[in-house]
Amino acid sequence: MISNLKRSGEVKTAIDEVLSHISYIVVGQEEVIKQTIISILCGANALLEGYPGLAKTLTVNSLSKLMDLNFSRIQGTPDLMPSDIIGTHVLEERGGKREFSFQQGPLFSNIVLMDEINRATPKTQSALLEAMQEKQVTVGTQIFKMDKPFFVLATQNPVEQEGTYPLPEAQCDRFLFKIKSQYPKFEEELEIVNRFTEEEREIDSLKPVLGRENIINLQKMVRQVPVANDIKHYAVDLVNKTRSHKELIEFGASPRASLGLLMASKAKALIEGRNYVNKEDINEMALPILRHRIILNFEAERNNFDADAVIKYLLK
Amino acid sequence: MVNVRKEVSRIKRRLVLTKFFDCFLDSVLISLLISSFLVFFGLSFLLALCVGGGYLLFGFIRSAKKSSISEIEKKVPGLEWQLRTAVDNLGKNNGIINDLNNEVATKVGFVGFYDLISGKRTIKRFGGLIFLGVLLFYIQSSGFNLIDTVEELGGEGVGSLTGFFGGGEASIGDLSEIQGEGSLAEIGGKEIELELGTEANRADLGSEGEYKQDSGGQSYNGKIGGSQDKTFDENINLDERSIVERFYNNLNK
Repeated sequence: MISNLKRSGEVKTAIDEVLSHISYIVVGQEEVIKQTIISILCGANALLEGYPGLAKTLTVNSLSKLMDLNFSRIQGTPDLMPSDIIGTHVLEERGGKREFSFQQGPLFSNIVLMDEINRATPKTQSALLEAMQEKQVTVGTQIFKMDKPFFVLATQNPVEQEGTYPLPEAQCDRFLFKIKSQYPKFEEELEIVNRFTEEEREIDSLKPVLGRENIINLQKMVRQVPVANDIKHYAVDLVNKTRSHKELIEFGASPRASLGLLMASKAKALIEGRNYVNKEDINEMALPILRHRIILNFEAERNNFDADAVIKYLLK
Repeated sequence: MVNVRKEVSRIKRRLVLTKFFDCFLDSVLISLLISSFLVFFGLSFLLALCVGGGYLLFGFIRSAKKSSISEIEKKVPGLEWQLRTAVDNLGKNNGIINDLNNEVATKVGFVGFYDLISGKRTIKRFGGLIFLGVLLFYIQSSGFNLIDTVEELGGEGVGSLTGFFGGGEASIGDLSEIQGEGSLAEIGGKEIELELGTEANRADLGSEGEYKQDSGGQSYNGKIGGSQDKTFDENINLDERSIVERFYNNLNK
């Protein structure tokens, strides 16, 4: 296991090693993996949108193994209750004395995969809010701090919208990224077929590369990456544009998007072994940062523009 | 720890020096260009030196004010965004910033005067300088002067009728050339149709001209259009004689 990361070059080496190990299990999906790692390094959460069978769970599970973090998976269903994910008080008998003790739910983990979050009721979705934003859970009068690092990756299916509860904008804003998982290319799919029909590749065969302490250290290092004033202006200007372009966008992104854009760009620079952020970092991070934070107006939809097309237009 | 502030100041000074060099070349180029023009017309090139000097002064001040860190980054691609980031974060101290400062200081150390000047542009300007220098030398040594040359050409009598570039004054009796398309001349209150077509016509109004009377009235015996390219024949009434004379007098003015 790699230890004592201090320089950006060492970070790049470590992340490259994680990527090479994960490619043993997951074929392709480089962008998804990279953006998930960036989310973890930013100490933020991500929303993953993709069709079933695109290795979403496998990716996150593999990352948790390689990062030596606890992993739990929650399946979103309409009857899922907040107590099912947070935990509940149970009556326990200790030394002849009965008392209530708190039984932690699956949310108490380092990496939480909330599968099909839009199938859970708004009540359960909002139970996630505090954990995602404050990294703590309040049960009754007790406050439980989440273990560090804490990362929620929620998935949602872009089709089959019937019987779902779309995430409210306020909750969407709490996700740093909306990662779009794409179908693999032909060659990649061929490789998947070859690899998994001829031999068995177990996640358990993955050995930790980065430890928990390293992840926390990396999260601190991300904040240390310096940014030029011009880059800050560029990022804030881009987010401001989402509010001023009323001809396409009804509601623009919040200042949380500016924060996220700079943090994600810093993390991207760090995992690429750079000590500084450049314009390309901002441009690349703009899509996953902004796509779920803007609401297009009728005119944009009438012209068949999606959020990505509008963001690309703003970047020009 | 490397003093990145010192390195940045050094490269900024170097950039200003580059600006001065650029402005100097430009001012010499401008001076030569104006000098060539002035010498061509046989004028003193002192004005050119004044213009060049003025350009050097004001151009340098303007470009020195405009010079920025991003300009250095554009000229040295290896420093793109790094130098700006280091400058904007001067005074901050952590492992990553220190690494960045070290990297920037090392790279800046290798940036020389020649990295900051634009090679192609400088070569073009030197080319221009050589061309204009040779041109100026040629004009000076050959003693060529456009105005003198034009006067010499004018003295040959070309277009003496119009007076353009002409040295002498046209008068009645000269063999003058009329060029133009006028076919209808209005003299006084009368109109006389003169066949002065597109071809060069010459009118000889010498005093020896004869004036003959024709059956259709009085006719002018002089050789009007005696030397014109095509035969010209016209009957003119006696009372129109003075009009005709006045017409040609006017033309020869």
